[in-house]
Amino acid sequence: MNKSNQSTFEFLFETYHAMVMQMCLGYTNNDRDIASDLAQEVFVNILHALDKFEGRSSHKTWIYRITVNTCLHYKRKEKKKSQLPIDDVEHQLTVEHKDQNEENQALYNAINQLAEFDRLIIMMILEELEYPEISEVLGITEATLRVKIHRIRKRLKKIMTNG
Amino acid sequence: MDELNKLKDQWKDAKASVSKPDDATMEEFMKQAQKKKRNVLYAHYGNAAVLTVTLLMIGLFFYHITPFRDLISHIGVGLMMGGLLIRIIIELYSSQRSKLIQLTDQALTHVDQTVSFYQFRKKIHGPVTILIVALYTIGFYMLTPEFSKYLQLHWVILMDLSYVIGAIILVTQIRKGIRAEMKDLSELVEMRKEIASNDDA
Repeated sequence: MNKSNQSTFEFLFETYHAMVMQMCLGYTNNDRDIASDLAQEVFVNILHALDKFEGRSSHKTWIYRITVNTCLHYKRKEKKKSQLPIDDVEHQLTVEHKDQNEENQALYNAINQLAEFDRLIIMMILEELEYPEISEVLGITEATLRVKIHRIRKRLKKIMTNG
Repeated sequence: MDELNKLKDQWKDAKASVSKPDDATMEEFMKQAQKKKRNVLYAHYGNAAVLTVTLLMIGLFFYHITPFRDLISHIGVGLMMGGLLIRIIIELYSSQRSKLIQLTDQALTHVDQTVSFYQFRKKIHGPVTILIVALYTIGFYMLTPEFSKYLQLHWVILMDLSYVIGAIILVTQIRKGIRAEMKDLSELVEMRKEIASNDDA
């Protein structure tokens, strides 16, 4: 890796580490070990793709694309490795982590009751990404995104009302 | 909307608890990144490398240790090695195909490319794998007549039976892999539908 890429990577790592890590925590239902592993995978992918960054989108959107795709990819890869569905692992670890951070766990539990793809969408909403940016990350139209968000909100309301 | 705002506040609080990376984290990360890069390389070319070594060993074994004289045996060796060679070429092509799956693409494009890759794998797993296993098996049993000239009957029978056991284990493993990949494929197809749909279900 050349010096310019290294300094760019260090900048991206410092700037977006928390954002990526939190998205991974949300995706894995607050399992810190799996989330750290997943976040590391995201940054490895960022490191390897750095030469391909053309500047057509912001670094943030580009990193979100890699994060979303890595999450989608990771679940299938890990399932093969452990032969244990990640959702089952999430469930087991949810119980272990419950005492540690009730407040955060309630948030992540709510997110994890959504469908896999909806989880990724809601986390970008919570991160206050603009709709055009989310559409760009996912490759869907804004109209489709709005319909999905409407549906997710309804589902969230139900989840949070029922506790 | 109250629920969403409540979640947004919780999200911000949770984010504050994510620790900032220090220099040691970065150093450790770079080490891990190099390791993962090597693992990716092994994953891409590992199978092809193992098959190539097997092909070379079979070639050397048949050339130096048991040089066959009968034409039927030569055809058998050719079929066995040919089957392996086809498999190696397919593995290499498959590795190249997998590189088309770009993590920097939009999620929908990424899922499309992954689905297309799995559909390609589905084709390989079907007739092509059957053809390769059949070639290898036919080739192996074509060696039996010449082996029976030099070995006692019970050794030949043992050799032929052990191949059946080996083949059953191999086929079982292949079937397991196929089932896992096909499950992934159907999940991805579902996800693709889910991503692209705008039904207010």
